[in-house]
Amino acid sequence: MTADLRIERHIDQTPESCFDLWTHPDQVAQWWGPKDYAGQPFKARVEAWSLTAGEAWAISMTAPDGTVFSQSGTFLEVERPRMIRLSFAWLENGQRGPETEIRVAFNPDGNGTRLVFEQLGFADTATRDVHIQGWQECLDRFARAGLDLMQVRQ
Amino acid sequence: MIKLTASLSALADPTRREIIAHLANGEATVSQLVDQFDLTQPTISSHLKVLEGAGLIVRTRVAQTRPCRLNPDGLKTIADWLKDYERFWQGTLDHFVERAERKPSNRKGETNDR
Repeated sequence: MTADLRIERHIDQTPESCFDLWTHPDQVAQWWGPKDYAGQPFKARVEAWSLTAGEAWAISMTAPDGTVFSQSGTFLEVERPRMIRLSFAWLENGQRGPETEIRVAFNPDGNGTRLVFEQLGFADTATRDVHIQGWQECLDRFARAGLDLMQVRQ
Repeated sequence: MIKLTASLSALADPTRREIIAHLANGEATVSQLVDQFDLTQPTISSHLKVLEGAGLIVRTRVAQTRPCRLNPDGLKTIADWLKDYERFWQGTLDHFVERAERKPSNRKGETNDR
């Protein structure tokens, strides 16, 4: 399976400390979610969180403009302090969107940690065979074609 | 979201992805696609129907043929979604790192109890 998204960050904390910050629900609520363009953070509320393989998690986030976003999934693998894997889907209008797999690894890096975040291809049966690399190729080609068409329109 | 799921399902099939890739070079008729892919016309037609239903291609009518071409709007749905994902996680991880490196003494409760 090909990774869609891979983001790495160095953190000046031990893998244990990073793992715990990622996995304790009261801590998660403090950082989950981005900031908006004005630098205001989203407010996250952890609605379900049982850090055990096979158990569910759910988070709702309120954007600074008041919009609420919900996400949920299942823990797939929990291995302190090395890594966690979880399934992930956005909830929109009461419907679960396509499900992906999130994998977060906390690798020792000097005195700190190298966090490797990956979002892997779709896990639900309808889209199981999608390889995101495949789409990205499509997207590149599409983007070029789209650009050409837009030039024609103008 | 329903539309997005349809787009992603449509692209789950490697042949349909190849058709999309081919159409990125320009529009094509069904018979041109049949020649290109060495598949039967009904097979090509059924793939085109899925792609059209997902809004990824449009079919026009020119005399007796119905050339297919990409629908940039359909693609944009997917591109926006991928971009949203990336923006979300980049922002969240920035936030995480910031929190992780801030005053470790405030982060009691992080014990080895799991």
